Amino acid sequence: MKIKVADTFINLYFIIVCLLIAMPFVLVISISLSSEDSLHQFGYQFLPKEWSLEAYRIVFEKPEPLLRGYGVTIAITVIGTVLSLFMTALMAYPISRSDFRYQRPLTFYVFFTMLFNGGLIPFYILMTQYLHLKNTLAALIIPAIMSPFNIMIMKGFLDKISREIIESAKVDGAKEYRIFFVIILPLSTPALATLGLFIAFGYWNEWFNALLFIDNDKFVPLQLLLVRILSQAEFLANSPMAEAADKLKFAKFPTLTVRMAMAIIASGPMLVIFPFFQKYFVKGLTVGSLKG
Amino acid sequence: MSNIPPAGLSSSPEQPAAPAPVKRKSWLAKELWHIRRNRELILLALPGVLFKLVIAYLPMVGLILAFKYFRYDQGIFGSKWVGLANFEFLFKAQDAFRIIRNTLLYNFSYILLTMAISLLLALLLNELTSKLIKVYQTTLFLPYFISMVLVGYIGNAFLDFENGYLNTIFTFFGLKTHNWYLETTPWIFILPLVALWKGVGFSTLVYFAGITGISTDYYEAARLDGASRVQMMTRITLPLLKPLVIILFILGLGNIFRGDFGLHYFVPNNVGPNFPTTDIIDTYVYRALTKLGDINSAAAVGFLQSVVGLVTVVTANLIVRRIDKDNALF
Amino acid sequence: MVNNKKNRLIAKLLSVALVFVILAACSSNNNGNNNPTPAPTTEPSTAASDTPAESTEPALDPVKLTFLYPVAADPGPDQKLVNEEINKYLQEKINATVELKPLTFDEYEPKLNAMLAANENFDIAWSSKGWLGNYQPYIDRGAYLEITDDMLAKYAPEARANIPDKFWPDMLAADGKVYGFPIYQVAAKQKSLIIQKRFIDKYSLDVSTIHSYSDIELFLKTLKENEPDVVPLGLAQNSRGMYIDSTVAGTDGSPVYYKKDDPAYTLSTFLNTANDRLPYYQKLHEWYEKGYINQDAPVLQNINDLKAKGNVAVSIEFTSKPGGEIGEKAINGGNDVVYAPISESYFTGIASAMHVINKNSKNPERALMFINLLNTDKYLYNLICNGIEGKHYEKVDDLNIKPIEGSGYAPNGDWVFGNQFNAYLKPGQAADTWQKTIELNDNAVVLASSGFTVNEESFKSEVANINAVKNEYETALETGAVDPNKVLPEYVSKLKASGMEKVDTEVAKQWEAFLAQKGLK
Repeated sequence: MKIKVADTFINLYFIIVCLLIAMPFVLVISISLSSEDSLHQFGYQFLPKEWSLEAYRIVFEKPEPLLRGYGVTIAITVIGTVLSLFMTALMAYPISRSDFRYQRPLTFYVFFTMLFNGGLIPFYILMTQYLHLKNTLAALIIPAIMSPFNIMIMKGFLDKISREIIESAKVDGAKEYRIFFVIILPLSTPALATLGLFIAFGYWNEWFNALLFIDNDKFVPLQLLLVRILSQAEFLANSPMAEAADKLKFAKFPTLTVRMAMAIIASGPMLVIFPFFQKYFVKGLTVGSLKG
Repeated sequence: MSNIPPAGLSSSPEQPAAPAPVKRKSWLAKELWHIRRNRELILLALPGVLFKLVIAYLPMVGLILAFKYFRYDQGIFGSKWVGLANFEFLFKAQDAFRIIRNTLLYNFSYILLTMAISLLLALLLNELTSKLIKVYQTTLFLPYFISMVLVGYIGNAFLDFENGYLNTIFTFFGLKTHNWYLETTPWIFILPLVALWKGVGFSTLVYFAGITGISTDYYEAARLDGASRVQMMTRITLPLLKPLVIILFILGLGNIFRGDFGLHYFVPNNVGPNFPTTDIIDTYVYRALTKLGDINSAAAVGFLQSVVGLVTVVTANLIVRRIDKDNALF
Repeated sequence: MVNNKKNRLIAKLLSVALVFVILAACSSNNNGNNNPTPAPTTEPSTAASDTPAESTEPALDPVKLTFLYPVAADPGPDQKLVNEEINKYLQEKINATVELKPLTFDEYEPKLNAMLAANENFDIAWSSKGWLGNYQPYIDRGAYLEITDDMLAKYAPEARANIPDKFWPDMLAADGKVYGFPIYQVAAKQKSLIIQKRFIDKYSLDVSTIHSYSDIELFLKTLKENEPDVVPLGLAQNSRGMYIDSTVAGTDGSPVYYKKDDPAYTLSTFLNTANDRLPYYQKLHEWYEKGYINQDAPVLQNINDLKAKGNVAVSIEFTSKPGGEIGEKAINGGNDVVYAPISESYFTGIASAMHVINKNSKNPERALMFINLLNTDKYLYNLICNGIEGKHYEKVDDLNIKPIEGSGYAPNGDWVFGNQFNAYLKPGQAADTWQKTIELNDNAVVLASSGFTVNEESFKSEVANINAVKNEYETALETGAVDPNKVLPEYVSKLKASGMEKVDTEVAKQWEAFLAQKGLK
């Protein structure tokens, strides 16, 4: 009885928190579904005063770049997440082992790259002149494969795996790579799922590398399309060149509804991906259950 | 305390002050022996180490740009050295104190606030058994999808003087309305709130995943001993989450001198009168340098931010190591 | 403990050593791969300069040029098609092909920067004074090629002839050399108030009585009292103020300001004139408090977002140009507007948009010839601006065209491609638009400061901090949102503390030198 009351309270608490958190998101959806005129007249509303699909019609007017963008984004997200997850776990495992002689220097080696980076110019030169990755999908995948942040979090998850289980495997004569693949990886499913989600999310949102390294339309990901639409209005508004720009066209710049619709279209699919990863946040998949 | 060697190194004896040449030889031999002993783990780490070397460490030659006057026709190495000239503008800045104070205080508050709230949420989520957990998680994560530019628009819907919801609510309760963007005090609350809104889902998920990784054996044993839910929470879950908490905390400290540009630029909307409480290093530098195209000064600021981050992290790590060496990051 | 430290040191040493090894390997690798494009690397500088300009045609080797320019949005799927069409024509004309690389505004700067730093192959870029691809800073960093009078005479004589000589000094960089070719367009600025016609008619305002900002006060008052849903004066972060001192020569973007009647051209700096501006700021603050000005003025990024509602009665135009009212009508929600000038028409320079040649360009001569064509060849210019006739636009008559909606090519940037007076007129533009603009340019007051560029190298850290301070205070004061009696002194003292006086002294020094050199002193 007591437990049930507590449960209800916790649920109630979460419902309130979630409502508060979702509110602004609802606003975005509502704006994207409002008519531009009603926005001017009534301001932002949580429920559109005048419903309109105009913004979505405009976005989908020329669907090819959008569909291509989806294709590119899905490709880099899938390939990137798999590669990145593997590399992250591979790096995190040795530096999570306190009996590994080089644990601390290597941890620092990884962590240092989170603090320091050479900046845009050397990185661009490396990627284009030495690695010849301009206009390739690899240019969108490689830079984010080993995020030091993710490696550290993975290390944090792996730190908890009890030493005994590794020791007992070693006594049985198992090599480290076997321990990694056969014991560590299956044991870390929730951790991998969590990181996989973050990594997938990172790739899904990737646009800056595309801006730098992609010249042709073939490999432009979705988020870069969105960023271009979001920024152009502001850019021209604040530029002295506005004087020279054709004012007739100025008036036609993407409106707020279109910007919001673009955001929904760009982030929507991630909501589908989310449950896919959630499947693996299973409780009870533990050392104990594997021992048997 | 500090004299006890770390667990992993216990096999290697303390080095006595021996004559140099003899010592070096034996030391090298010993090191080679260690490398052979650790070769499997070294091999596992090798791909990542090499990858980092090329992708992250090679471009770090660019750090010298902070001390150079870069010319396109002379290249990174050919450009002339200028010493600390690129740091000059930051040291001369009238607002140096203001932006450093804001950056540090806001970052601390974001780290602590997000940590406390998301730990709480993760613990509570863990108490639930219903299918609703998934809905909650997804909702908490929603704000993570929205770019800061759009958050700026949404913020405007709440904070607008004439039509904003906040003023509508204030009017409803008979309170005085505010021109939020022109005031300073409200931002001390608004910015952490937005940061929390945006980031709490991420940390909650990390902690929740950490909790799901905890062996049920512990809880079974505790239940047999008649422990209450709250006791299990504070005696089992929290202590076992400590490594994760410390890692997230130290990671946060690494960026202590680097503010969230998007949050501090698009949400307060670049309105001068609120700068006393919203301006941070990153926004200041953007405003100062954006017209000048000064690559070197930008590099200098970045370098400084990294160095401060490094010092903070190393110090924090030392402190952690003093208290509890197993939880130190490196 | 000791061991641990040593390990770290070794790891570090190892990594440093490896870095050098890899660096060496990469750079040697690079030497072999430096020229990915098969373009013939002739030495055109010697070859071409031997041939006189008239007979260049037969001697030209085929070359490939690359042209970077900013656009507001992706020009469309037919970009390639138009590019091919241009190449057909160019091959005939100067035996060259060009690869067009349109980049959206936000991409332009980082990409230009990265490509220059990486020595990537491109020939022509777009530049401006004070905006994208900022002229002086890039020149300081050795990015662009000097364009000498000789080169102009040989490769772009026709284009050069179109630019009035009295405007040319504007192209001079701080070192007195020229590094670009101007895109000729409207080059005069006149500040105006934009007033919606329906309110002029309703409240019978005599526009000819309006000569300065203060003349509009009564009208604003009337509007505030009678039109509850109307914003009497609409301002935003990008409105740029309307303070005009009629005794001072100079306008937004001028390098310096000076008293008109002063034969010594003594500089009129912000610090010296701050007190003169106080009444103006006070008036604005009064209007803001009374609700004449929209309350979100200091917050609003873009005034056009507000104007789109159609209920902004008065706003500011900092560059009223002939025919501008038509565009303004579209921005003002379809309401007719009238310009009421509040300043003289000043020559503001031809360097607000220009083409520059990459210092690394392998074919700078051909690049300049291409620039020459862009600025003189009507067919080429309109091809690149409007696309292919019949596919992307319909010809109405010899001068007027009608773009085909959704045709697949619309870069919308006549001002990035070349001499705008070669453009076909689009619907809504009056037949005499270009004549009127040229007249405006020719009649504009050319200031003594034309051709003067401040060299900021010796005080750039002060300039950086001053920029930040300006950004903090300017908009707030110019929109009337803050009390100037309190804020203006604070602003002034912060400018001084940031080294504004030092900057002013240095600028004055350079100004004196410039005047002396020009024989004005």
